[in-house]
Amino acid sequence: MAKILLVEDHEEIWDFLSRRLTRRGYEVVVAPDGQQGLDKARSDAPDLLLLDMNLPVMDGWTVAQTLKGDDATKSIPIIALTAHAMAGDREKALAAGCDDYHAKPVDFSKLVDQIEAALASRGGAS
Amino acid sequence: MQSPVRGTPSARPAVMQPAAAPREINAILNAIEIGVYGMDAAGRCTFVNKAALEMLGYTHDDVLGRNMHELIHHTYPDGTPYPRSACPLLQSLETGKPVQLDNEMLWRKDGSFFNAEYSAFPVLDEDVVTGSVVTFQDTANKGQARKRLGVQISVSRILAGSSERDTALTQVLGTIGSALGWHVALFWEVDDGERVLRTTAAWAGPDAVGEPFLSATRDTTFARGEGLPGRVWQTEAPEYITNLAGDSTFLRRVAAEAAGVRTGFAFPVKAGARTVGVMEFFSRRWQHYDENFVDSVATLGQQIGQYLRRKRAEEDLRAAKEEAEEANRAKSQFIANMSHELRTPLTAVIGYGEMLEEEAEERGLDTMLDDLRKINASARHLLTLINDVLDISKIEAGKMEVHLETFDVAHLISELSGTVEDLVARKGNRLIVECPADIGTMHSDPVKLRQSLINLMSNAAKFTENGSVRLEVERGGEGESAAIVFRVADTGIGMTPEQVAKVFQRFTQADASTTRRFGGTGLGLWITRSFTTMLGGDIAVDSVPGEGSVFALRLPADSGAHRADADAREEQEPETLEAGGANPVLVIDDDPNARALLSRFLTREGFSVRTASDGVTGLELARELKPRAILLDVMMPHMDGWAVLSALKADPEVADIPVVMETIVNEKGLAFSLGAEDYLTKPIQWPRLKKVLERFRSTPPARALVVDDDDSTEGLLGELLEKEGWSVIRAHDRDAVFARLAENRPSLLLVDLNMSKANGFALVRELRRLPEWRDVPVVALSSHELSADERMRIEGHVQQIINTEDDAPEALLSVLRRIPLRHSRRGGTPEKTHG
Repeated sequence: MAKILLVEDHEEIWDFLSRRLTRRGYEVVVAPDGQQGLDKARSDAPDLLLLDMNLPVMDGWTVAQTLKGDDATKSIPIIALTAHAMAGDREKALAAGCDDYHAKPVDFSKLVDQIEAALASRGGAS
Repeated sequence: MQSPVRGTPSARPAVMQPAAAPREINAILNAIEIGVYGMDAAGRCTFVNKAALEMLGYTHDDVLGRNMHELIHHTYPDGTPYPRSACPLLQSLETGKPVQLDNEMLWRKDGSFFNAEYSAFPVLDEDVVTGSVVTFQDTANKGQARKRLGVQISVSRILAGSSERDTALTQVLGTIGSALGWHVALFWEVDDGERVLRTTAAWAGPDAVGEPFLSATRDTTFARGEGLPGRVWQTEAPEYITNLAGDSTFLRRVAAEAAGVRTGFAFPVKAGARTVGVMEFFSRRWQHYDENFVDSVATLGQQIGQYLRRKRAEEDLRAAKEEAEEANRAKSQFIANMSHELRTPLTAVIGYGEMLEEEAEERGLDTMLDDLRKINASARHLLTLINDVLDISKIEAGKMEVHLETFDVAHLISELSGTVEDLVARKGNRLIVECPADIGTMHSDPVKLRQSLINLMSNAAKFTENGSVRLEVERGGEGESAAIVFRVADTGIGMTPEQVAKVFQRFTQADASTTRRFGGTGLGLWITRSFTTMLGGDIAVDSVPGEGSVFALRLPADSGAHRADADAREEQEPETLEAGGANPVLVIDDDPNARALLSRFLTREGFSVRTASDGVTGLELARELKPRAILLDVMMPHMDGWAVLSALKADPEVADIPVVMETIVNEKGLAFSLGAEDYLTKPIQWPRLKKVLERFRSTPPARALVVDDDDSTEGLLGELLEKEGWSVIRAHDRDAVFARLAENRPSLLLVDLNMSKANGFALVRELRRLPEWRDVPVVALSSHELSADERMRIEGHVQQIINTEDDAPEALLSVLRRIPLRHSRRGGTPEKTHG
């Protein structure tokens, strides 16, 4: 059972996302800001991060960079969630170390595909 | 510098007997700028030349027979009398030896004095001195004419340079002041708000004596008519105060006296007919009135005024441009923020909606499931609309980026079919996809291609019921021209040719009822076309009402190779609608359909048309063609219409061409503040466009008055003018000019400067002085290159100087074509004055 750490500050979004992901059989841990996201990534050993980029306390790019710069956490795949979908967002997220990118609003089945792909590649790599 | 009259007595020509002097010698004496008089053996004046009288302020009768020493050489600088016996010039009458004094004080009739070189050359008749020729020259005036020319050139150079306005003005003051012997200078500028004069630039000579006077004057303001600058402002004429201390109208007497400045001079700085400021010069020396000097600074005044007006216009333009750019930035930011803000709650709506849909499905709540599906479909629809708006704002801001990658075409098509299948099936339509499995790869932006195809197919599905939507993909061309063609054909309601013409316009659907029946914003096809253009491709439509439509999207197989020269290809777009004839209307619009429609309309209305598909090309064409008018679209990628308008108005070469803006939203305030002639809101209402354009047609025969005494030139000119649709009247001399002017006001005067019977320069200047005729544009014609001096005398007074020998007839024609237009537009249009 894959454990997903969902770092998202909007309550509606983490609420429905975590419920839908749980229904699909994932174990979901929620962190409402960047700092807590970073802490839980270290303490809860998730299999994957869904990381919003515009976060309070610490933004998503910093979280991604910190985790990818740390040997203990750098192998955790990160899927960036952004609401901008502006030119350059994708590049910025990937440059910060994210493995994949999903523009909001969430296309749930596509997101699940991306999660599965990320988990599979990690499984293959390790 | 050596005085030209210095020399040995033996070299003197015998010009002593004025009665016997031939007329030529008199003419020479009166033409030179050196004062010359003769005296008999007793020191009495026997003759005197014009320059001497002018310098001294006497008349002929005042001096003839008078003892010149008593008259002009009577007092030492310290005020003590200068006895005859001490005068070296009088002594020379006895010695018979020439004498030259380098720095003597000569007194004028009005009591003022000037420093002069003063020389006497005794005339000997058989060793008996019979008299003497005396020459004198104002040392301050030596070489003045050349100096003035030098000043003129320096000032022109300063004004044409890149210095800041106030720096340039201070430099101008210093240049005039130090070159022409003034010690303090001020520029008083008309403060439009307070209606007073205020100093904005000041200069004091290096000896710093002027500084106390400057500081006393710096914080003063003058009302119209008040003090020296105020009077000059009011009378618009130069004013000279020889003796400041003795002039009760000079309000800064006390400060002037304290600073030791004695003479003051001020002249108006004019931009056209309007006085925008006053320049003031002060000298610690007594300076006498010098007509040449006053004349030359009046010319400078015009030049400085025009400079100030240009600077003001540039500042206004820059401010307006910054404001417009700021507004544009704010708009883009607002749209970006808004779409972000809208997407967050929409994410929640869609997320919860889908979750509930899943749950309802699991629990078999069928009635609720139906409604939930409607909510979700609406939310998705809302999302596509928001995405479209975001796309448009990105395209318009030039921020839409293209991400090229190599991908398998057949794979993309099969994915796409899965996505659109449901959508097509909704109205009972069949989806037919024909794509060869071995079609291969292409190098393009797959996201934009997918979005474009979805747009085309959902559009096809929207207007088709119980029919079919067919997608055919094929590869065509080879090498560099290799392309993939995506053809979307439906069996729907089709479109009329008029509807086809409008189909790619933003916010426009085939007609208003379409929106009610089929929904949508009409953005999708515009976005599709924009994407296609970005990828170096094109899109074509073919439609038959009642039978269906075919959209053919053609993309280069390798967009990387094509995008680079996309612009170049645009430029070479055949101008099939261009009609012959001069002065076309230039249409600048990125939308090919808009260009085609406008061209067709304008051609039908009898205009010749040239088109440009982007701002940069538009600017080039405007400079090259000097069109009669420009129709300019606001919403263009890369360089939008506002930027093009600003660039047009900043370029003096094309600034006069009227520009009509085409805007989506009413932004006439912005349009007019940036100098547009008029505006139209899209979609264009043809009757209004027609009305606007009527103003740019050449007006019914405008009258031109040709002033020339040479029939052959005049004949040629007349022919040229008449061919251009002018009615030509003629005058051979000054009196005839005024007689013709009195009969009927012409729109243009052409004055030959090389007339033998009349003085063209004088005529032009006389006309400029008369308020009644000041506004009539004058074109000066000359058969030779004007000298700098001639140029100085006429510049600022005429619209243009044309060299009839060297300038091609085109030069004259281009001036002619612009003048009636500019003239008839004086006062602006009703819309404009309300704007």
